[in-house]
Amino acid sequence: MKIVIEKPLDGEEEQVIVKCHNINPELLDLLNSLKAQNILLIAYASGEIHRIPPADVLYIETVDNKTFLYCAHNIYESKQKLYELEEFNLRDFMRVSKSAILNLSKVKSLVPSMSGKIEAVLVNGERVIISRFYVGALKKNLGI
Amino acid sequence: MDKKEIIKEIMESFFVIFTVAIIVNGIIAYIGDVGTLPIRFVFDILLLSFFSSLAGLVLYSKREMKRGEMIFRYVLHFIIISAIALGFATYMQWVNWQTPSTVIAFAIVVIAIYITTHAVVFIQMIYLTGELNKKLKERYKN
Repeated sequence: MKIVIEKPLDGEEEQVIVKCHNINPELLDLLNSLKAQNILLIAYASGEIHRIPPADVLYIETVDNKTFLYCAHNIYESKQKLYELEEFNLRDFMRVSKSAILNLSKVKSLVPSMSGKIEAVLVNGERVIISRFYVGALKKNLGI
Repeated sequence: MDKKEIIKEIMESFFVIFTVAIIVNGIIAYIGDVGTLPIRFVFDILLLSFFSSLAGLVLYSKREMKRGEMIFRYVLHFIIISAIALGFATYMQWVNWQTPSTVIAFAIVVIAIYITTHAVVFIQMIYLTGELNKKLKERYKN
């Protein structure tokens, strides 16, 4: 595939133009990840509204029907449901249990747990359970 | 987990149970100086392994299980496995209920196989997480 980068004219908006014969799943993934680059997650903490880049989020979890975004230093509450956040197809994010979405880029290591589960040790030392149900998807995601 | 994955895991568990059962019985036969085991014994173990691996179906659920439910299913699984093994052993006349020592010895073998099988699964998980960590490092090396 040929990659062409052109400088836009003065005042012209930056854009990505895809010229293709047909849209295959790989191209669709690429387009989704390009779209996801611009997404900012809206969340709340201490009565303030925050716009959080997904790359800053370690994991997203639902507790008592409330959705929380866990960052390195703060926890934010999101008004969106877990499945709604999942629909953004955020790059590096994947569902790892019924109640959690994990940012794979923030995983330091994976360790086995009992009953076929895997524990993800995050860069800040926190641990997130990857349920047996999602281990297959994780293997697929990482190309095993 | 889809049907294909479940069948794959049941097959894997069948071969693990069969191998472990043959090894454990071989060791016991060697230590106990039983002598030779008839070829029929291998087919009996094959049949026992098949039914025992089918019992693994109780561990699968279409939805994600909570810790309590998982523990309950493991206990249920062990009970079913024990019932299958003891029923089979009685039918094959491997144990004699008039002599409790044979039943106890057989129960110990079942427990040993159960623990070994789960240890094998845990070792497989260690191997799998090793592979996943490698892939994770490759993807995020920068």
